[in-house]
Amino acid sequence: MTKRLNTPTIMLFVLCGLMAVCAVYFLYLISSKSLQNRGEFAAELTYYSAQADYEILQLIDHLDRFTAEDPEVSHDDVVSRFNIVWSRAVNTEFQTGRGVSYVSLPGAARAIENLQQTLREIEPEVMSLAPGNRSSSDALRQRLRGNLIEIHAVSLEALISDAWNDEVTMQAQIKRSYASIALVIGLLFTGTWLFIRGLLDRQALADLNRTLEDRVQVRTQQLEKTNAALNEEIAERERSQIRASARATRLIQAAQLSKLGYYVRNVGNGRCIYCSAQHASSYGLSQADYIEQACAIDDQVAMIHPDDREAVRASYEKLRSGEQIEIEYRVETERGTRRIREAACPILDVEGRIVQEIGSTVDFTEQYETEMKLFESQRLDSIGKMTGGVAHDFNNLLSVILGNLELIRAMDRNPERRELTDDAISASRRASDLVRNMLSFARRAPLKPTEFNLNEVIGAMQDLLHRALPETIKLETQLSLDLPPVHADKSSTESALLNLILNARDALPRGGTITIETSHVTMTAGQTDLTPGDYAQLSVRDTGSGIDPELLPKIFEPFVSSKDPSSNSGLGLSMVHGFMQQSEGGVRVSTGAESGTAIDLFFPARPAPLVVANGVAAEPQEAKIGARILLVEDEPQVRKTVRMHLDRAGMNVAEAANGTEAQKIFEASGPFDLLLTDMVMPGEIQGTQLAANLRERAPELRVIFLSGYSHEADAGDPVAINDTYLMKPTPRDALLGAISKALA
Amino acid sequence: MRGVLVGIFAFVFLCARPVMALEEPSEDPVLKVEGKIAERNSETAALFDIEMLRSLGTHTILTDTPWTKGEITFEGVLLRCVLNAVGATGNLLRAVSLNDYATKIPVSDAEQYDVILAFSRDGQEMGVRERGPLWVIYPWREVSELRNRIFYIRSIWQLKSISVEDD
Repeated sequence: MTKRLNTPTIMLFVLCGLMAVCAVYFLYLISSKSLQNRGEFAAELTYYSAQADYEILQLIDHLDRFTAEDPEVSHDDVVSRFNIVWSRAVNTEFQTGRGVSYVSLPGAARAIENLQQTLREIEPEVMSLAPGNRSSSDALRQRLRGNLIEIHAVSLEALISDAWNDEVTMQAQIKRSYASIALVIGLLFTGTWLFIRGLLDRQALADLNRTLEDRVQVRTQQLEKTNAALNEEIAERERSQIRASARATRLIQAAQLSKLGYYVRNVGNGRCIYCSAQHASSYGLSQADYIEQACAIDDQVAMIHPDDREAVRASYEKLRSGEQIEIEYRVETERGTRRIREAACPILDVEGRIVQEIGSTVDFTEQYETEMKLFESQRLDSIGKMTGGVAHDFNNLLSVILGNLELIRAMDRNPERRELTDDAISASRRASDLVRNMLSFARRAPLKPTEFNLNEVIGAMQDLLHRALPETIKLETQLSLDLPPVHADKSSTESALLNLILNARDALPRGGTITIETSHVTMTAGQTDLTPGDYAQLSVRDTGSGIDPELLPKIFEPFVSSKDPSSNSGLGLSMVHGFMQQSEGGVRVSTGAESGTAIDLFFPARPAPLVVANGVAAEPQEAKIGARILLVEDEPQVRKTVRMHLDRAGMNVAEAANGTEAQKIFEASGPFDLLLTDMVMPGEIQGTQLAANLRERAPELRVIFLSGYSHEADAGDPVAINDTYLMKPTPRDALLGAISKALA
Repeated sequence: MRGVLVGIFAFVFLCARPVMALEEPSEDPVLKVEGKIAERNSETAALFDIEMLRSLGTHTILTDTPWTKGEITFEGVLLRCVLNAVGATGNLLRAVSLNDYATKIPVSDAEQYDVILAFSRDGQEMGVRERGPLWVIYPWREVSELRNRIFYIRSIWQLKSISVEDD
């Protein structure tokens, strides 16, 4: 690991260096100044004085050599030397510069003054001096020697002065040097101490650094671990967020799919602070509108159906007291009445105070309606089963009554009693028709299309229809004389008419008039949805207030009714519509508030092959005399009545109470020409099974089935195509006609 | 800046002139230059009178000195012009005065500073009595670093001759 000097250490070293440099420089300054001073003194006075000596001597020498006629010395040389001495003695500024020091020497001023005087006095003689003039030269030199002695004395004084100056200077210098050395030593000592201290500090700093670095490293490792953990945590959190987001998305989607709405409400002011789009939609509002309107509990309660407000308010008070609630209520919206199921609970803060309420809502209107329809359907189904069961038993009773009445009528020749018997037979037959209508109403009647005239049906149902209407309603009929016959299931036609009449009755709660009308119409192409052709029209009109326009498009849908569901199945018009579709005809509805409602049924007018049935179209035939017939019927009275009819018709009858007994008789007393059997009997062998078993032995065996339930033929085993099916109670003529036809 | 331009001008135009062969002095010579020189007007040396020196171009220095009182205007010829005139090739000058005082002046002084051989003091030609006829003057007033003993010693008066030598 690289050791780094910190800033204070660097500053310390720099300070030490600076102090050392200062000390050395100071020493240098002292020594150089000393030398310079020494040089100054040496250069100035001593040299200056000696130079004066030298130049006077040179002048004396030149005077001597010139007058001695030395060829190397000219008069110019002498003059030059004289001028040089002059320049030093006269032209030197003794008031300034170096001259001051010189004249301050003892005797100097006087010596200079004497020299200047000498020079001025001898100047003319020197200038005019001729070679060989020794006497003059001697006098001049003698004069100059006097000055030379004085000048030399000044030179000596200069030497002394220099020496003294040197000493004084040096002593002062030495004193200063001692102080300087002491200072330098102090500086060096301080520097050294600081340096050592710096080293020690540096060592300590290094140790501290190492310790700190170790700590930093440990801390860094911890931080790295923490960082890694944090990164992992962040990654996990991100993953969790993604999962949460996915969950939230799924939850939102699930909430949307399940039409689950939710809201959050502040307890303080009762204001809704958030609601989902679904919740607002349940109220027929947008989110923004709902939040804007739901400012307080009262505002939210005001949105609810008036009949449910008190219950909702009570539930919200429970919620405010800390209870969870579950309520159902209705809300009136533009889409109609919506049914909402709400579960809500309070949200507590850390201190246990209720701060918010959250609720989830489900709009279960469709579910409710479906459930209600299902309930109605189940109810009707139950009623149908019950009705069917009653009709079955009632048919058996009617079979006995009708059969016996017919036997009485055949045996009794008294006209008065026969009339009474005929009335009873007629009533029994109407009772039989009523039961058939009940079965049709309960949709137990399969379609068996036959050809008939609508006017006849209407005529036959007059009594029934009158009974179904209160006295306040007048029933009128307008029947067309040229009405073509129709091909349809007569029983269902009767049911349809009955339904229409009952609907018209319900449309006239305060009374009125119901008109039944028939007419012959011809449809052309494009006129209606019906296939072009002739139709027999059956119309039922009332003078009521018409059908609600909103309900009109739905009136043919099952379970739709403008009336109280408890009083009407709502199946009527749907049955009519389905029946007319099945009969290749059609239904037309015209309604108005003033004109009332008219429902027209269009039956196709076309010929159809006759079908053997117990309808009015079957012509009574004489039964085949002596035919061997095996009669199987579990109801003894019905069996007895039928046996009597057959006996009276001259037939050879063997009877059995159930399938097993019938098989034994067939084996013991066979063969038989015809099997006349009830469809539903106690025991394992039912009518169809019995027929199948016996045909294994006698394939040519004819079979006629009797039943109180019209649908039993569908529910049971397959019936041979040429077998005959008769509904109970079976009139004598129909029974014998069917036997004759079967044995033909 | 202006002084520098004038100096360059003087060096280029004035100092360049004496490259031509030296004339002989018409008056008494005041300076003898000998030693390592290319141009001579006598057997061994180049001799100059005041007029010859003046013809090399004059230069004026206003300064005080340690030996005089007050500021003095010295007029003379730049030493480097004299050296240029004689084609000096050495790097050291040995200067000798009339009283045989001698000192050494590096040639670099002449190149670095405007050192003159002054022949006039406050407009008056200097005789021997006035420490003439030539006095080596440094521009002490302009260049303060010259104010020390080294340059005072080189400031020789009553200059007689210069010998161009090498170290």
